[in-house]
Amino acid sequence: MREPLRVLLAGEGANELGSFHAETPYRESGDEFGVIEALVRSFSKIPFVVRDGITWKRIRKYRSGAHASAERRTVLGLILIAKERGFDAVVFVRDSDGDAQRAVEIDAAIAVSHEVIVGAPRVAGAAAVQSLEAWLLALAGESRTESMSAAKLEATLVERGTRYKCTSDYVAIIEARRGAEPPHDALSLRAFQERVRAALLDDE
Amino acid sequence: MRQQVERSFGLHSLVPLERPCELVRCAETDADRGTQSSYPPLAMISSATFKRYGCLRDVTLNLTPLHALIGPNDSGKSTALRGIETACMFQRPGNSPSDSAASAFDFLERARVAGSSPDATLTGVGLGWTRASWWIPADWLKVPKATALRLEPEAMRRGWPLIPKAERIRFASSRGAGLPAIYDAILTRNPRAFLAIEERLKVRFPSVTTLSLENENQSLKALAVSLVDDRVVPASDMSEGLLYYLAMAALPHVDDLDVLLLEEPENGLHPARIADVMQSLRDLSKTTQVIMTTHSPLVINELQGHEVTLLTRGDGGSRATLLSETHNYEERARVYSNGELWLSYADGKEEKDLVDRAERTA
Repeated sequence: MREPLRVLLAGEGANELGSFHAETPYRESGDEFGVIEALVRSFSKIPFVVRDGITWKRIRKYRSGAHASAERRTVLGLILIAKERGFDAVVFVRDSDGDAQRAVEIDAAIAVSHEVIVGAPRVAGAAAVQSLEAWLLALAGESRTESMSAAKLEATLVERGTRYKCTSDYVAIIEARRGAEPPHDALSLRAFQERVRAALLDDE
Repeated sequence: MRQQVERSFGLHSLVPLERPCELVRCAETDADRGTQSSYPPLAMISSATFKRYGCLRDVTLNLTPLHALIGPNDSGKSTALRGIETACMFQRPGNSPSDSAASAFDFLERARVAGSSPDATLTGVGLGWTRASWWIPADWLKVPKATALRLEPEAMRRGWPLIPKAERIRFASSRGAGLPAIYDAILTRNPRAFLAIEERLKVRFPSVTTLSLENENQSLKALAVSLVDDRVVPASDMSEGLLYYLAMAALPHVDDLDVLLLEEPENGLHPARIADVMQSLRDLSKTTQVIMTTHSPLVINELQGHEVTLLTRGDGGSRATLLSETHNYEERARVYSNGELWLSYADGKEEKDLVDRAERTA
């Protein structure tokens, strides 16, 4: 029986990472799932164990020069961290927040990662358009969530009885729809699903 | 000891010579400066070895014409600069190239001879240097004169007596005292150079229209600038950033500046100015070796990996590692710029993830 994949998660905060969002010394003993781990469990049947998480702000974004965008270098930095720390895979989600270029840069970084970083771990990541809440509402059956404003997303979540920015409520949505395919208009979520399935493919 | 000297000199001789046409370039530079050239910068310090010198118990720095020392506080950066300055004072001039390596470790040798136990008393700093090119006559090889600067605004603001025509242009103290006198000397000896500095200043500081010197009293000159609204700002009211910039701009016109030992050139500078200052230091390094300490990633971004030495302090004293020889540098440098790489892996204490292989944590 194969060892479960050791996975590093990266995201913007507690909703994405669950108990892994805090710095190690301040991490509570509980192992609360975040949205990313819940999504990966929903999308992939490969055994994996999340060994650590890193918030987006802790991946160094500062840079100078113009030979690559900050977003692209942040993703490459994340993949390099995962490699150097011996992870088998890294999974991340980033809100696009209305910046279409973010998704482009993230895709570009993933595309070149194995050229830039020899022996890079498996990578699955995407920009959530416009934010994680759009993905959750799409999973809950709403349509055209990628074109909703932040205020509309919040209002719709609350209308459905989901507490805004409540990690356990967010995870509950995913758990309730485990195995279900996202709607066709949730393009960024479907792209993430494909990447998770491709990256966490059982190649044995 | 002899073995050490020979080995060291052999290594220094192999240091890539980045300025084979130094004689020509230097002649042009001196003409531009309008100063009397003492001699071309034929030698640069290619290595500095420290034995039980402060926290530098056994450390060798391999240096380049433009070089930065980085590392946590209390790792020995300033001690290294002080050591190089001290060693330059002790070097004897007039050595032939073959003798210069011995001279480089002369300080060590004398300390060893003086002590009862060689190992216990081997204390000090040895310098090795390389000539700029092999065809330079041996008697041109001179001992570098080191000038240490840790600029302080208050010292630079102060009015200062003029530098007589027969005297060389130099700072009056390591804190930058005498800056007005330097500018007065530049103005009187090379007005074109003064105007060029003023032009660059106006570009960098758009509110400034003129750089001038005021008579503070019968014997003292002080710096001043005029602004677009015709207000005159005396040195006492100038911003620190402007003063630092003026000090850096004056460096190419300072005489006898073979080796400039500079503490934290980024002090007081807006991040956008740091690249300008580093460019001027790189230009200066064609004729003057510049060794600096810094805590700024923006400074490191303007340097290459082999131009940066990381000092870290452990139980056995400090150790030196070129940034280009830190763990996984080649791969990391494809992802990060040098300053970003430093910032990403340094913890400000042992810099373990930067220097050593990171532990597997997955």
